[in-house]
Amino acid sequence: MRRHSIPPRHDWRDRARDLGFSYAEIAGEPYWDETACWEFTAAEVDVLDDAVTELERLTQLAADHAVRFNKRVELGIPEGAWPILVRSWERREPSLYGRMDLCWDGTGPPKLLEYNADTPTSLFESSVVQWEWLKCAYPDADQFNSIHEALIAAWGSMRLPKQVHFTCMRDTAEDKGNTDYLRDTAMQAGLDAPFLFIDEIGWDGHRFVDMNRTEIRAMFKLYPWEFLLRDEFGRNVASAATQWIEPAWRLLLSSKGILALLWELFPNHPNLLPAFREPNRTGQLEIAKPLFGREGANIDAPGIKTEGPYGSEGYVHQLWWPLPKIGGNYPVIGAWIVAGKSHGIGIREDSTPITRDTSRFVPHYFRSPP
Amino acid sequence: MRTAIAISLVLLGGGATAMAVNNTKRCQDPATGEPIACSNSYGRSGSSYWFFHSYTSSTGKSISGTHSSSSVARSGFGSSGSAHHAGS
Repeated sequence: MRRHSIPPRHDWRDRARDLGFSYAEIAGEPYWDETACWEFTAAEVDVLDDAVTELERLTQLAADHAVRFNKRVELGIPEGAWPILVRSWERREPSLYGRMDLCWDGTGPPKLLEYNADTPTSLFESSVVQWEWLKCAYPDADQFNSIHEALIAAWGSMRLPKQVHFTCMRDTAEDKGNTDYLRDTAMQAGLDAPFLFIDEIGWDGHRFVDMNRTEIRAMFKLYPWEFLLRDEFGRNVASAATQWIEPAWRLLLSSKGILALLWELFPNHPNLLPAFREPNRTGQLEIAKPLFGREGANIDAPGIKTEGPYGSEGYVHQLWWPLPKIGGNYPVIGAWIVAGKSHGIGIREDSTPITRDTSRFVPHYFRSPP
Repeated sequence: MRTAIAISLVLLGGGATAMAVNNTKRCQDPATGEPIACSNSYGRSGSSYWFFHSYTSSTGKSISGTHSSSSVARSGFGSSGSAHHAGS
């Protein structure tokens, strides 16, 4: 696993625009960054692939344990939401995708930092943009990336109606770009995929409906469950027949309380870090993360404290396992799971040890032995 | 690692647009129907952190966070999103 500084393609902005990558730069700062790339060996990719497969297995076991033994309080989930999650899990409502954030420098086992199991983004750049870059910059190399094909295949296996609505918040190019990309894959899978913004969803007293008053039978939402249930229409979710993507049980895994439950169930597992709901249990330096924090907000780590609106819901305290610092950059590996299987990675870098929404996306490639 | 190289981006490359319906979130005074400032329980401590809907106005009136067109209410989702975005 090596970082290379490379010259960017002279026309990368045009290429990004042609792909529909509307957030390659955010607020005038580069988000897509091809002034560098990461090189892996095939053996290193195998290590990552195996780790993600194993972690996905563990998280499924942990979700089942949480439901069976009612770990609602440990996961910080309100009482009113619990029956919705349990029903979703017992129905085995299908999941489309998720992203595990891993800490790894190419040595030892990769460590799970957290699981973005509900509303992961950086999908389009992981699946499409870095693949297009690979074909230009390293056409003879390969990339740990079968995300696109897996998404199209997944839509066909999720027991969905012919029409699936898609929604996200207004005024955010990143969320809209990720949502439109997923719409695209759904349409390539043969689904009808209309879009409406989250505030346009209607309630007719019995059903969620779109702007044409057509029933929303299935809905992909780039909008987290803790927001959805907190909103006024959240009270209607339990009685509506809408199938949600991601399903409600994913809240079990998107709560950072799952990190403590995983450590409780699988102590000393090589891909896990010690984590507890109470502080100072690891006996070493710790990072405190809000159970439902997002984008590195409200983190309290050695020498670092970030601001934000989260934390009143409680924290998880995880062994401080800092990201490797390479060339002044801190890379985190986002490992993509599609329909329960490992399908690729995307790497984001920051100039600080905390990955935030302003961190840069850096592409990767790998070479197989001759 | 790919089975297919060609990627057909119908939506992103083709520039499809969303429905241009402006349906802005607001709270209404139940007596007059006029928009008024309101807040929900988001950000408060303890068990009220994120569940459910305790909309109150500064006057203490019971208010509606949605607005209706015939029998369909809208704007019941979206109020919890941060100013930035909802992805992670």
